[in-house]
Amino acid sequence: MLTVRREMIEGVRQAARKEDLYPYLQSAVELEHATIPPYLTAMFSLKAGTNEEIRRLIQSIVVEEMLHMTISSNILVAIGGSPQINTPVFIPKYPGPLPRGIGGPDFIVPIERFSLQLVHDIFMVIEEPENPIPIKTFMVGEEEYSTIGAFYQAIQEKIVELGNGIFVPGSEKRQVQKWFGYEHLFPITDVAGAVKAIEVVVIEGEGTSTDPFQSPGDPAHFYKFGEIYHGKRIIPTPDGGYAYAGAPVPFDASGVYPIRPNAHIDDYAPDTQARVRVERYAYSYSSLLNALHKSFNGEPDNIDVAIGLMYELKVQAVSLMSTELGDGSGMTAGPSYQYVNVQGGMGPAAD
Amino acid sequence: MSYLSTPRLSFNGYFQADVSTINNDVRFYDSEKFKPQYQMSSSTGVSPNGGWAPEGTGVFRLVGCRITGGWLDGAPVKLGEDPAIGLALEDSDQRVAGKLVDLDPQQQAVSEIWGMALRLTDDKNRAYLRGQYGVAAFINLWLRQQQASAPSDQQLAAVYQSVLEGVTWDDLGGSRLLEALRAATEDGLLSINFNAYAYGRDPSIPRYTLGRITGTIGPGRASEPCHFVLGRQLLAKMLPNGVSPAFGVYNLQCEVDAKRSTVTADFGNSLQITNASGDLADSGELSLAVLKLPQVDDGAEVNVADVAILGPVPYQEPDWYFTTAGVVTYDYSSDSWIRDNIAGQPLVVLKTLDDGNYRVVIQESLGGLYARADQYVYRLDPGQTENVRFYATRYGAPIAAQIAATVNNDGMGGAGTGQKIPDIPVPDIGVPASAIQYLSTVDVPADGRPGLLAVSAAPEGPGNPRGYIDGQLYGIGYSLSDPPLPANYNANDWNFISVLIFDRYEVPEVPTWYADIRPILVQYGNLYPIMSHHVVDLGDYDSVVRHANITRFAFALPVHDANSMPVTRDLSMARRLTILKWFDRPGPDGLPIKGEPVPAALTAAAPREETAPVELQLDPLQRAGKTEFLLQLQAKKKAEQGD
Repeated sequence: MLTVRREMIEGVRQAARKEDLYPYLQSAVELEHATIPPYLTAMFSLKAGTNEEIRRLIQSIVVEEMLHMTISSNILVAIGGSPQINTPVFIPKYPGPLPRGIGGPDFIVPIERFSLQLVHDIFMVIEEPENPIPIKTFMVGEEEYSTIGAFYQAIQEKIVELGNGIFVPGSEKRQVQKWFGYEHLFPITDVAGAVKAIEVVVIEGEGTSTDPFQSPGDPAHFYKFGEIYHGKRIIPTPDGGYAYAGAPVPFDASGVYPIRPNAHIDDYAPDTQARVRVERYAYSYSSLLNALHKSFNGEPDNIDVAIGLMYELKVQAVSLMSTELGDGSGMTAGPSYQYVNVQGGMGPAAD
Repeated sequence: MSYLSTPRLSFNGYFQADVSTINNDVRFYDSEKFKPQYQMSSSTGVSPNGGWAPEGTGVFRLVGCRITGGWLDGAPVKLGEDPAIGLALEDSDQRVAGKLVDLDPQQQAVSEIWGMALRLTDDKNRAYLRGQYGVAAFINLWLRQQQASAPSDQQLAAVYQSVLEGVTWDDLGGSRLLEALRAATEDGLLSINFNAYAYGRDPSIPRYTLGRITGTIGPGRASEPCHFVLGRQLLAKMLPNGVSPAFGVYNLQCEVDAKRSTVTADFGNSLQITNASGDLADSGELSLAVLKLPQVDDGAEVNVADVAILGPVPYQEPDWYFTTAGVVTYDYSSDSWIRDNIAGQPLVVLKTLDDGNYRVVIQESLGGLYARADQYVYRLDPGQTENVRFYATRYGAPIAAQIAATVNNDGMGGAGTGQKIPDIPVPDIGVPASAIQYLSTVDVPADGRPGLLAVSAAPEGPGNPRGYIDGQLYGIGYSLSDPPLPANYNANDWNFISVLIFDRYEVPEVPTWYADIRPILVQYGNLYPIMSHHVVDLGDYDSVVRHANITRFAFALPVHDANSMPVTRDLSMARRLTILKWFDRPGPDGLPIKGEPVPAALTAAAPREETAPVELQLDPLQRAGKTEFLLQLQAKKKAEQGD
């Protein structure tokens, strides 16, 4: 279970005006985004034609993280704020802790290829709900920490308290509304809408306290990662509980690109294929953030352009991750999530 | 007004053309006979194969391009003298990169850049200026690089000229050069020209799918052509191979500015290079001059009295090419003979001989006459008409003229590669001739406005003459008929118009997967495995339905959008509408309608074949590329002449 510094919750609770909520909603946007690079990397590292089931499970989670990022941004927009997405600090430093101390300073999130250990040690920890079922029971965290669920709950309560007056009339025209389906993504114009939207975020991420499924047949993130780790789908058991005892979720360890973990652009020598491709990927990711920033700052239809960039990233990841480093390590190139403004890699001396 | 005007910026760096090579052989469009091995790389040694980059994405982008020099107020601007020098010339930072698109597997010599946006940037400003690159095809393809620096290097080079449209300017950071450019340009345009060369095709080298780029940005104006300079055209006499100039220097264009008494010449795609580093070959001492004689033979020797020298071509100065893109401005204000005569006497490039005389290595089009279609690549749906804009000049000045338009299919056709695939016929092109309609002449007015040639696709379309591939290719040749061209005129063989006319197709009332959609999409799935393996398997109903939102979205985008599908821009409007209708009219189960499998015989007619395809002996890595396409055309031409 990931922890949130108690002062974050306190900060939300002490908010007197809607403006006081802006930094916390910005934090929510950053937190939802922070999981995307590690999940994407793990998913892209699965070779085409292998590990299909695992890929689909991770993809469904990544898409929902994008939805949650969108919802958090829309709430911020709905009360008059401006999500800040196109800045170098928006992307966490990997490997490193999550934004705003979430998870504590010792919880280090890496960028690395898919492995069962990565799923267990990192992804399941990120997604672990307050009351995981059926394996664990609630344990009280350290005094100065609370949970992400509690953080969202505090935001929810504060919005209820501040009331409908904090919603900017007409802001729904500035909210992103496409691609996720109305059931999950709807205009937020009042307290009721915001409360419902936050519930979508929490339930998709954590499930409810009694049911690991966010909707029939669709487990919450923690349990999906559990399915991957345990190699079986989750099913109800006759005793009223749940078990990882359903259809197999097979893992073929040979179907993973052996990418260099936690790479930075400068780790790759100039004038190499790997360097050119790593820079290109980082550039496309940066362009994606630029496009998202625009989408949440007055041009919601620009989300279409962002979607195009997401698909381009997917294709670029293939050429990147199949590029052998040729340094005797046996590894291939791994992505770097750095915010860049130019793409290079080939110098004047290259031939 | 063009990139040769003042002020201008020079840039240098790399480009990536991450093309897919499976679609370089027309026979791979035959979906019924397609084999998985056609998706394998030539480096596997399998034959036939999908060429040297079967998993290409089609992306065209700039890599590490920087502004390396400029020209302002009659003088060069160098690094440190203006903040513009050193800025990065980058692609869009807001959307996906542009795409490089062949017109057709049987016309690969006019590859166009679609959907590219450019900006000038540095750490301080994300975009000093932005503009959308107007779709443009390369021209003047020639054998520029004398030696391969790596196996299967692309030694052919070419040039792209276009405009940046909808240019927006930000705070210019105190750059006089950029301020002057903003003041000089009109209509929200900039003129941009770049030379592409040293393209690498060996998968093991860093330069794989990358080439070098050196170019120029200058002011633009909507009333002038976008894809060539309305100026002085020097045309090389070519060797029989069609891609080597007889005297070493290739076609170039110049702009005379009578007010400033300057000539600006672009040698950027005219001088041979020895290797992929772009080192210019030793071509001796070269200079630009005005010929005092009416005209001479190409390669003729002239003496000092016959010419007025404008100045040297300083190509041997270090870094000259990378900091000027080969563009030189000559000031003739102090030479009264040139001032009085440059408007009516030919420009020539001279090579100094040992005896002090000169050899004319390239000269202005004879009589100063020149006719050019601005845009020379068209895609037409049945019943559609486009107006081709023609310009005619004498020594760079617009003239009233008549241009004759004729059938010219010499620059297209063939299989695209010389691989041996006996069971798939190579379609003939240019038939039926009745599917394309245009008048045989076009009148160009004297006032500099273009003459328009309406080119129409017959409403009934070509009638699927190529069977397994949609539509038909038509070439339109053109030349001045009035005034007539002098004998020995070196026409530029690349000056013809390539037209792809799509087949007529009725959008079905109720499109189904098997009958209507699969035949279209399975072909894309075969030809673009990067798409089918990693995004959506276009040959598979379940995959397409699972990705229905994104697939429908991409097919609905306008062709100019960088995300538009197909990347190859070779889908007719009727078939596009069919795909969209299929998505939009689901069956009772809420899914797009699958329908019943259709017997293969009903899906495609056999193409009308061309004469037996010519096989070539090539290094495996050379397979599927411009070189092979050209060699095939030459071999075909030779075979036809022998008949």
